[in-house]
Amino acid sequence: MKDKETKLEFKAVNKLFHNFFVGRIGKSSILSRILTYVILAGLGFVFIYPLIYMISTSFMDSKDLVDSTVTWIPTHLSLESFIKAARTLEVWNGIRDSLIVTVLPAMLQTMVLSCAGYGLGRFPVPFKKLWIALSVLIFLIPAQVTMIPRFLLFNSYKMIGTIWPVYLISILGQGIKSSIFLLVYYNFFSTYPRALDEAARIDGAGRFKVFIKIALPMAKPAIVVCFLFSFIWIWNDTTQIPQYSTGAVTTLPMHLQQFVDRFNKLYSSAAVSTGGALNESIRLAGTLLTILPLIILYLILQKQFVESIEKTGITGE
Amino acid sequence: MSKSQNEAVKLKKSKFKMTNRRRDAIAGLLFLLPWIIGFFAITCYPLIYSILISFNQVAIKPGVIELEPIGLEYFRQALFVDAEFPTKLLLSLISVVIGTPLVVVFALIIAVLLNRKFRGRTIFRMIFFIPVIIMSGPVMTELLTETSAMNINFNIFGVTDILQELNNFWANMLLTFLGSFVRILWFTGVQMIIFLAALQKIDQNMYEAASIDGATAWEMFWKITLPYIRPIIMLNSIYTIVEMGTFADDATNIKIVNSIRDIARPYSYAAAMSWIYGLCLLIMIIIVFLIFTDWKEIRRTRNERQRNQAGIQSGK
Repeated sequence: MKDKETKLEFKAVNKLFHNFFVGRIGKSSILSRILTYVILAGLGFVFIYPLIYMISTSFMDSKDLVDSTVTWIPTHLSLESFIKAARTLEVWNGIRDSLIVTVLPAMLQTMVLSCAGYGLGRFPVPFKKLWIALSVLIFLIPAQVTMIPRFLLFNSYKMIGTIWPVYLISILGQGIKSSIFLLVYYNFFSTYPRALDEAARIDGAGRFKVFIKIALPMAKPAIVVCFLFSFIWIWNDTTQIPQYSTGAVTTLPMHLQQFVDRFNKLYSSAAVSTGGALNESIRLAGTLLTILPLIILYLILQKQFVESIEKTGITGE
Repeated sequence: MSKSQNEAVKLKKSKFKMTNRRRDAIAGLLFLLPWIIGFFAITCYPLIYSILISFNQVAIKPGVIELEPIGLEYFRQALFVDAEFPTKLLLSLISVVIGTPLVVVFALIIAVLLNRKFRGRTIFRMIFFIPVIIMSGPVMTELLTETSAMNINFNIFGVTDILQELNNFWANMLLTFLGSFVRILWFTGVQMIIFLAALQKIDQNMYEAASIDGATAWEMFWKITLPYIRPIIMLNSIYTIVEMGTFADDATNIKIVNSIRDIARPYSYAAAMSWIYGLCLLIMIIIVFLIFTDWKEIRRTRNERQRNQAGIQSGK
């Protein structure tokens, strides 16, 4: 009797161990699941550490910053840094300028590249392989190489100092990393079933109508990827836009780039001597304000951002 | 139906097909036209022009720009005379060479872990993707160099102290790695998603078959997952090199942008430097391409094709 009990007990313990280290059939072991969580949590912490640090520090006032007993949680929520940073950055002007050079160009680029991808993917375009090879090559050649001649080109058309270079680049589909989008569209249009197109053609729809009414609605994930990434990459661009459009627009990241100068201009040395000097809290509040529009956009559209990449088949079939 | 009639129909059909095809080609070209114009006008032409001005002295006269051939002088100045450029170039290249494998490996680790079924993976995926959205030159500069937001204190178990005391090559390497750990991780977002998409396409039956044969998860990763995503690893490595090499807070890029309006040698000196840097990056990309191309596979398919052709010929 007793022997049987210990045997049963042993079996139960054995099962527990088995579940823990090896896992039931079709399920991973508890150990490996715990490990997964631990590694992901660790890496995730490293990923968002700067964000947490930024948020916590920007709410501190100058006393908390110096006080070594205050590490993460500020003694009281102070908006002082945010007010100073917002005044320094001229947030509203920055956002307005950023939107001017971002929204419409991103849309134009999305449209033009969807057309180009459709042309490449669905029609027997002459030199098709050459165009594809060239678009890959453009991606590989660093953007800074073409920046100077582009500047001279726009200069000769008296476009420097206006917003037109940014628009022109987008309307011709040559924006930042635009080759990726072209290849995404090409891949998408060359793999989706052609039967629908052909049916519409037989019903008498023209090629352009087929593109607008049938191909585009189907390519929604590719369009979403192209628009969102164009948007964030143009928004975050601080090498090309300042070269071409300084004077006409100063985007929010450009304001952040000039943060120290702007701060010193705004707050005179008198204020600095009374403890109003530029400190980490104000700088991080400025950084946080700069990325806040993007984070809000991301929180709203986070599903589209990630899932549409998976749907577009960016990895090739 | 007589034979001649039949042929006439055939001819008509083939002719119709030809014109239709030609019409399709024209339509395709029209769809592609804006991009082609853009490519020649603001990418190809600037590219050639930038090679040209890197070999010329540029003089800006009112209204026109005059070029005077100067040969390799600016390349020589950039590499041997300039006090800053060679060190900055070397630093950038080293950071790309060390950064790329780390970025790709971490992206792969995260993707493999996220590919498992567990609760909360969407939240993790969201966290790992945030840097892609917010990364810009000024933001990186603020977080990394101007403030200490990116300097995580890894000294929890006295790790850094021990390493500092050791002070040999590997310890120093590890210290610099820890110092730029966050920056490296922040470059992994897009690559992670691409890996994730590729992993989800692998046929689950293969894993099932392997596990019935008694393979462990570790073995399956090396024998099934890794060979399958080899091309994706190449893709991601190249993407990482381009991304890191062209990033706005890169020391070499800053140097290039700052010397565009160099008074003594406007435009052309910056063009020469950007070509040196660009060529270095291209060489790296070619090396990655050579490493990850599966030559065995290519040879096998080529042999098979030859064999098939030979078979067809002998069959005839």
